[in-house]
Amino acid sequence: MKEKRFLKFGLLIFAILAMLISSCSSVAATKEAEQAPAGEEVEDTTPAEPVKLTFWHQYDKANAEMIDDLVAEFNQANPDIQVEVVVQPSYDEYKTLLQTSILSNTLPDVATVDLIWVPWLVSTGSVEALDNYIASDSDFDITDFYPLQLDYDNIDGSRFALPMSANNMQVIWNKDLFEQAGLDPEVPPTTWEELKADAEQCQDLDNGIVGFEFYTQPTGEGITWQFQVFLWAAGGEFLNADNTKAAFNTPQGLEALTYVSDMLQGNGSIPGPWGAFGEGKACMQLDGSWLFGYRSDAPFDWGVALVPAPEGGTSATNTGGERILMFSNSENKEATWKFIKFMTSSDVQLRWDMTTGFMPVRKSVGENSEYLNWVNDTEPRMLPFVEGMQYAHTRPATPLYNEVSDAFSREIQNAFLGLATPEEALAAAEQAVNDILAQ
Amino acid sequence: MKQRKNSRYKISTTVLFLFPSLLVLCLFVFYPIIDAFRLSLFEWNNPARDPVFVGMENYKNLFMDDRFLNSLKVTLTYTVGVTFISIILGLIIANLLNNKNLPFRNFFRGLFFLPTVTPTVVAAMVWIIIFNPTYGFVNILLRNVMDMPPNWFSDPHWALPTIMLLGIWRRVGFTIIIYLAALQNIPNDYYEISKMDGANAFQSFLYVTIPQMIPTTLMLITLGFIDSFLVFDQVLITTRGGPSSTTEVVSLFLYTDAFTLFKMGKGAAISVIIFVIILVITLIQWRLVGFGSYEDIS
Repeated sequence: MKEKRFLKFGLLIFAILAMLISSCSSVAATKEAEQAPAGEEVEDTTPAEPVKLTFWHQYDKANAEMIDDLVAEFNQANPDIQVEVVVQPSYDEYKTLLQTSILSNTLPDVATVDLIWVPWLVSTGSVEALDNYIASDSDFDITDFYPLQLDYDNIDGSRFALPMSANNMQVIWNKDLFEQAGLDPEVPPTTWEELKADAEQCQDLDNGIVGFEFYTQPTGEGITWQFQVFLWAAGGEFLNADNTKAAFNTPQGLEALTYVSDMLQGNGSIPGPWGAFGEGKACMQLDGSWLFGYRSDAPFDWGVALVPAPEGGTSATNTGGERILMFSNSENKEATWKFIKFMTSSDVQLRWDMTTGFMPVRKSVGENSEYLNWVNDTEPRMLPFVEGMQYAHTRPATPLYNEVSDAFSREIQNAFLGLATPEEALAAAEQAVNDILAQ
Repeated sequence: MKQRKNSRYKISTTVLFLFPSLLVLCLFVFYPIIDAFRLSLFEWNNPARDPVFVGMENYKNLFMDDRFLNSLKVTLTYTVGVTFISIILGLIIANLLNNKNLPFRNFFRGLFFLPTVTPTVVAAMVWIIIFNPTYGFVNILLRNVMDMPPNWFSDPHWALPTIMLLGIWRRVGFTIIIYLAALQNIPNDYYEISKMDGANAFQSFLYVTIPQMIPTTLMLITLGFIDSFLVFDQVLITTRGGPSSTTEVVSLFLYTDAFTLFKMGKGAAISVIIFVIILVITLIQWRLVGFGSYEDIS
C-alpha cells in the first residue's frame, strides 16, 4: 500500500516538474540565441555565425512581398548579417505589441511604424537616436530627403527616425456611377460647390448609392485625419505652433465642419460604415496613394483628382506614411544602421516607390526622370498624388496626438450625425483637446 | 484503524490531483485579479516609466467622468433589455416547441439554436452588411415603404437597439434550450388537474407553467446579467462604441483606455468596478434564489 502511494505521488511530482522544465528550457533557448550575436559583434574577423536582426513591419500583400525581396537582397549582399522579417498584420495589435515589448524588453532591432507613433515611442525612451550614425557615415546624404518629412522626426534636437514611405490623400471618383447619374465621367469637381453638387446628383439612395463617402465612424484617427484635409483646405489649422493649444475653432474651421456636416444630412452623403466605395456604392471618397494596390482590379472605372478647395482656398492634403527606426535595446546597432541605410537609400527607395506606389521621400527619387516617366507610363492616375505632395500638411508631432485625435473625433462626430451644431461641436472639441494638452 | 487511513489517503490524493490546476488558477487567475486591485491605486500611463501611487484618485476621476457614467448606463440598458427580452421570448417559443404534435420540431429547435452557436464575430460582420444604411438588404427593402429608413448601426438613436437585437437574437436559442428541458420536467398531472378545474391553454400557461419556471428563470436572469454585462465582441466589430458613444459599453471603455491609450491604472480601476458590480448582482440573485437550491417553490 505504502509503495503504491509513493508511486502515485512520485508520478505527479514528475509530471509537474516536466511541465515547468519544458517551459523553462524554451525561455533559456531564446536567451542563448540572443547572447550569441552579442558575443560575435566584439570580434574583428568574420564571425562563424552571422549577426541576426529582427525587423518588424506592417506592410501587406504586394508591399510585404517587396519587403521580403529587399531583405533577401540585403542578406545576400551582407553574409555577416541576417535580417529576419516579422509581419504585424493588425494596426491595433501592433501598437499593443510594441507597448508590451517595451515592458518586457523584447523589442526588435529595427521596425517600420506609422509615423504618428514616433513621438509616443520616443517618449518611452526606447528609440535610439540616429544623429551619430548619420554624422559618421560619409556616404549618407540627409539633405536628400524632403524637408517637410525630416522636420517631423526631429524631436528635442535629436533625429529618431528616417522616412521609409509617404502618402497623401486625394479624391477618387467612380466614372461609371458619374455616367449613370448624367455627369461627365471625365470631369471631377474642382471646388467645394462642385463637389457638393456632383455628390447630390450622383447620390441615389433608392439603389443604395451614396454621393460622397465621408469617414464618419468609428471615432478615432480615421475621422480626424480625413477631416483635417477639409480643415486645411479651408485655411484652418489644427493645433498651434508648439502643440499646446487647439487652433481649429476659427471661422475657417467652422466653414469646414459646416460643409461636411451639412452634406452628411442627406445632401450628397449619409453616415455609414466605411467601405461603400469599394463595393461600387459610392460616387466619390478621399483615399490615399496606397490605393493602387487594391483598386487596380476594381470592377468599375475610376479616376483621381486633386482635393477641391472652397472659394479662395487652396488644395490641401494629409501626409501619412511609415518611419524606420532603431530600438535602443538592439544588441547590434552598427548592423542595424547598415540595414536602415540600405532601406532608405536612393536606389532602394526608387525601386520601392515604383513597386508600391508610395510617394517619394527623397528628392533624388521625386525629381528622377526615370521615376516620372514610370509614373506617366504605368499609372498616370498617380500624378495628382505626386502633385499633391506640395500641398501636404503633417499632423502635430506630439506624444499626446492619439488622445487628442480621439477626443477631437468624438466631438465632431456629433456634428456629422446632426446631434450638435457645428459651432457647439467645435467648441466642445476645443475644450476637450485643450484639457488633454494641458496635462 | 483502517477507516482512518482510508479517509486521509483520499484527502491527500485528492489534493495532489487538484494541485496542478490550482497552481495554474493561482498564477493566471487569482494573482492577476489581486494585482489588478493593487494596480488600480496607481497611475501608469507610460510603459517606460514606473507606476505612480495615487490612492483612490482613479476611482474618484472615473465617477466624475461623464463618459464612464454613460458607459455604465449603456451597459445596464443593454444587460436588462437583452436578458429580459430573451427570457420572455425564450419561454414563449419553448412552450410552443414543447408541443409533441408540432411538425418538424427538431428542425425548429436547431434553427433557433443556430444563432447561439454562430461565432460572435461572424454574426456581427454579417449583421453589419445586412444593416448597412446605404446598400444593406434591410434598408433597400424599407425604402420601398419609407423615405429615410434609420441608419441602424450608424444612427445614434438606433445603434443601441440594433446591437441589443443582435444580442437577443444570439441569446434566445440558449434560453429556449434551457426552458425546454425545464418544461419537460413538469409532471403531466399538473396540467390534467388544471384542465379538470376548467383552465384553458392560456390559463394553464399562466398558473401552472410560469410558477414552475421560476427557479429556472432566476438562474437565466443571473447568467444573462453576467454574460450581457461583459458584452464586447459584437460592439467592437459593429459600432466600436459609436456613434457618439451611444453604444460605448463599459468593457469597450476599458479596452480603449487601457490598451489603446495605455492608461493601465485607470483600466485596472475600471475592471475592479466591473468586478464589484457583477459580484453585487450575483449576490443579490443568490439571496433571492437561495444559493444552490432550485428545489420546489410552490
